[in-house]
Amino acid sequence: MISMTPEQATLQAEVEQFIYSEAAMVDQSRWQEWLELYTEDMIYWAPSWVNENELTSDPEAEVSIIYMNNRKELEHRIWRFTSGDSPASYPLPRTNHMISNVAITSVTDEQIVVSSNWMSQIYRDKEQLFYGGFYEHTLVRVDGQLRISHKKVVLLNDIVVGFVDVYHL
Amino acid sequence: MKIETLTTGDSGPIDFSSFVEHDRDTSEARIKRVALTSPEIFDMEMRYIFEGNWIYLCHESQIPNSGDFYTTTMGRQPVIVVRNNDGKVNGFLNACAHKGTTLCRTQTGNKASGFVCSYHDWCYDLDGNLEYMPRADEGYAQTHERSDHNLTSIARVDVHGGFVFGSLNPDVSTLKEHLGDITEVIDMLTDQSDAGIEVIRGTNTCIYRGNWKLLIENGGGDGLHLPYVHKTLMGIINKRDEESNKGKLKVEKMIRIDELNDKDTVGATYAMPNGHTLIQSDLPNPQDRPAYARHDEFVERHGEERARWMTSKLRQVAIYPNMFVMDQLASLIRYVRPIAVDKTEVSYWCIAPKGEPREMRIKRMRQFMDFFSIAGLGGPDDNHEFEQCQIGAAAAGAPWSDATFGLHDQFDGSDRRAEEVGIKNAEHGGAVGWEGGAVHQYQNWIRLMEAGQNREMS
Repeated sequence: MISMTPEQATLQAEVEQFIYSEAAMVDQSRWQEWLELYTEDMIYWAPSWVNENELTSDPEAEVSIIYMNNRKELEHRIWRFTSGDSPASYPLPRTNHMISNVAITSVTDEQIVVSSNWMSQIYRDKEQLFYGGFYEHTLVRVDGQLRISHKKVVLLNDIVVGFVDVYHL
Repeated sequence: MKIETLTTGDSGPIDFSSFVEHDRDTSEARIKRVALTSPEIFDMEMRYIFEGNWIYLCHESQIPNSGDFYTTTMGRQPVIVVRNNDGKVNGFLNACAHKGTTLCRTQTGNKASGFVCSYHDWCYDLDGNLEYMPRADEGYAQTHERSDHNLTSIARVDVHGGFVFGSLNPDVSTLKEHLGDITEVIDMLTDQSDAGIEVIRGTNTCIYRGNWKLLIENGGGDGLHLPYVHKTLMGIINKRDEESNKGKLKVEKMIRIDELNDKDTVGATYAMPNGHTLIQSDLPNPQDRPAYARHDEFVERHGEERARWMTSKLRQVAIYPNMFVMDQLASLIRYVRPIAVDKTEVSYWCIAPKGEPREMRIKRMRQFMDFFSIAGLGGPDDNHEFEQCQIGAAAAGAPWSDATFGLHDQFDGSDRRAEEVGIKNAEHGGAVGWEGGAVHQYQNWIRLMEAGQNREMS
């Protein structure tokens, strides 16, 4: 049995609620709120598979699915897929992100690293897709509020249907 | 045979020549959409094109050492590409001679000690020779010849510039003849490093629900779609430039493909023998491409004009029927694997000169991810349009696609610019946007389909 101090339990609950609320913002198309969860110098990284069991490890010099290293890029991406002018993203699918196995893997004065498992149900054009994998959030406090400074998304699939975007992951 | 009856089991020959109409007087062309939807035609394409002619398999850098293998398919047939102990690239059907069990079951790996079938322990060397079968003395008569049970080789395997091609049909021209002057364009990429080029680690693969020819046609000369399908990419190019000019953003600027359609941009599309096509065009901001840093060095080595093609031009070749070598917004291989008449797998492989400095590699990777990744800002929109074309192609009441743009203005042979860098055998060409590339691909398709059909019926 793992025991938690009251402080740890409080932090665990806060972190869980934070990660769930991030998923809700995506599923409810609250894009501006979602964007503001990220720090300006954020990194959002979904690595690619090299072979059956190995992911790429150097996002700057190896292939990824997505690699963004500042919030402007995420802002531009949101602009793109909500503009109605990207055929791939119009209409946007209905999405449902399920998150579980939330575990704090390290805490320092500067940051909290949180791992979790995710599955997404994506429905569009009378067709359903399921994707899933792992998240690793690195959270920091800005004016007392949790913010995401680094999000790594592992997608188990190495072949996707058509394309993927941040709202699938 | 009427196209309407294609899938009804009519056993007569198909008149493939009727699939393209090119009226030389009016300079109008159209293509029958049933080529995208008929399972019967797809089946013939597998036999006559993908299992009957040269196709691209993989890049040598994906199998650098002896025993390294890469698995893929040729048409519907599983194959292994492997480097033997002498460094030669071999190809085999991925099926044990005993019961057809696959011998390699991962995308890549190493079989330095040979192929061992995990089912009954038949063992082969890297040249496909059966070396061992268990209990051979008791199980087989004296007359039994082990060499009758070697692996089946891919009839022809050859390499140009590290790109590995194969043909299951032995009765084809040499690879050199097949590629023709396309090799010049491949060399403009491979010449960027003495050590050649390499595929960078990391897969990027998707499946779109559409026919394979939709992608080949798009990349084989469709310069018209850029400002419309990729409208949001153009928007992001502008946003990046603004942010970058304000000094706020450290990101790389993007290549301004929005200006490629301008009338004064120097560029052309060429129809090359065997269905290949080439697009070349001046880049508005070549200084933002990684190779540009070495422009002067390339001038010294390759001359002014060739260096200009290497660093300052968009170059895209569609090597019929299943790959693109692209050096434009990014440098990549786009590899096309038909799965069904309405299902196509596409892999994007970022390629780069070996030994490239890290700053250049980072820039290159950024440009690759921007557009072509399966989550890029451009590729997804293309793939979605292919899916919508596939849906529309089911509208049998509207059986023709138009492919007329620029035909009235096309030229014969190569032009002066292409000839200057050794690309002399173009059949004809036109300005960027010229739809003759698609017409040319389909005319090659007709040639291959007719030849295949005649072969089978004789």
